Amino acid sequence: MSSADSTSDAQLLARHAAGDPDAFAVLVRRHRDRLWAVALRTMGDPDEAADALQDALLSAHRAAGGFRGEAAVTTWLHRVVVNACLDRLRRRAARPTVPLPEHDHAHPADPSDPLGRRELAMEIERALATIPVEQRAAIVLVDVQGYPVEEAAAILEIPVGTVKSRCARGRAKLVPLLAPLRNPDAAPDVGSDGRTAQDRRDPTPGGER
Amino acid sequence: MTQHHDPVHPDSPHLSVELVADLEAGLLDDESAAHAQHHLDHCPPCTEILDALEQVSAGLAAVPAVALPPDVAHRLDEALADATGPATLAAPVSDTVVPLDAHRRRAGWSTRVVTAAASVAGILLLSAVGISLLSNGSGSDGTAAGADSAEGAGAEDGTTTLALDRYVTARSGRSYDEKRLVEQVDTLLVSSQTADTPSASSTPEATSGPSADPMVTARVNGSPTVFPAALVDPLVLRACVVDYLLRPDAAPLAADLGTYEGQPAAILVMPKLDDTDKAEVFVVDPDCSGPDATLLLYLVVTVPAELQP
Repeated sequence: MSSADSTSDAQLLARHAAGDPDAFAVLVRRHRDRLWAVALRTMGDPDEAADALQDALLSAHRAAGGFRGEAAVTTWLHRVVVNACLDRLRRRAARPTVPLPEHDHAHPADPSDPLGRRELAMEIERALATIPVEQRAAIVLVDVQGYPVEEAAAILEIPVGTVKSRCARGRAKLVPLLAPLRNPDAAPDVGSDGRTAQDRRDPTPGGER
Repeated sequence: MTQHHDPVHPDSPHLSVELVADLEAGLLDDESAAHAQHHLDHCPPCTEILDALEQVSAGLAAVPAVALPPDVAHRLDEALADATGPATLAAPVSDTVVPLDAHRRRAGWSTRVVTAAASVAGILLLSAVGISLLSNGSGSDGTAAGADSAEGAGAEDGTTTLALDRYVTARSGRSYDEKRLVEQVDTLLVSSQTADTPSASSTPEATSGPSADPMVTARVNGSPTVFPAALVDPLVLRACVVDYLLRPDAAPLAADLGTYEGQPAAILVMPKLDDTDKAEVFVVDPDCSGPDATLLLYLVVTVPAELQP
């Protein structure tokens, strides 16, 4: 695999399907940071993200023969990872929600971050964990990871309009959870239900579910 | 502008966060969007909702990038190293077919060179037999379909080979491309499977053997081009199938020489080991020269219903 760097993703996958024992590992090493970011933001927990990513990559490793070249290899890999995450989240949704622990592991301290982006990232992770998983997956791909809506639609296998709608609904749910944390004085006076602040004295995130 | 109540929340004088989010995402129809925008322009509390949504978007975009932690990377590497290969190759159809992937994975890709050399030697020993078979025309079996594995059983060292007359390369010179490949492969399969004899008009030189002019005419990058293609030789095609595709168990359902995305290429269609309704399509170098041949594309297609066993 000395020429791996110049080999396309599709060629690597084809070599893997044809029996090259190294091709899939090369393919994974190319994309695993991005796949990890998607899994981590979607799961909100590094241990669960690692489990989901491992399940997904093993599944992709087995299923590569079924890849038909209709989508880019990266799209297909993302799809397998997101689906593994959603499966886990849906199973977990059947159990009572527990507060997410702090994960220094996922957010190494950054002394050059005077604006508190690290705290913001943690708050966003917490807030994301409280919105429906389908909306979360769309927001992670589009708003957090910055994929074009069309790419997210291909990954999630849903229409572009549905991606936009899920993102919009997810952002709306995040407003009352996130905005007061960033700038309490400028918090909007209207909640997601259109009622005034006096009508919603209980601001705990769990109460919004 | 309290006279414009949000239709979703008739009790509230303000727009809902959802409505503002939909507006921002461009999801409202023209009339609703105009109404909501008009309200926003005149309602400071609702403008705050818009500001908050923008803050949320900015916050989401500002989430720092993360790299895969080394411990997780290590764990993934180990899990993948322990994994068996893709189902297409890891699921032998009978116990007598060597589980190629298992020994290959341990030994690594480089051992394929050794295997290739060994089996090419074996094929050369068989070549006289093969050529005499060729002179008798094709075998009686015009449907070289998925039942080949039984004949390949016992391929312990890759040197067991099916009769050479099963390795027929057409040279249509067709311009294959990714967008139309599935239908082009269907066409190829139908024409190959309905060509009962090697003298069928669609592939007049298909089984002419190694002594024939191994040239193929195709349009390469738009210009008529003649290129040499060793794969016309059934021995080379069989070596490619056995040593490169690692399929001593089956002959191609179809093989053709032409171009793929403007480059000279061979299209090899193999029966899928674990699913007789499916076929694997390999687009490779026109010469398929050994284990390092370039594989341009791989995909699995459904065999046209009329050709399924």
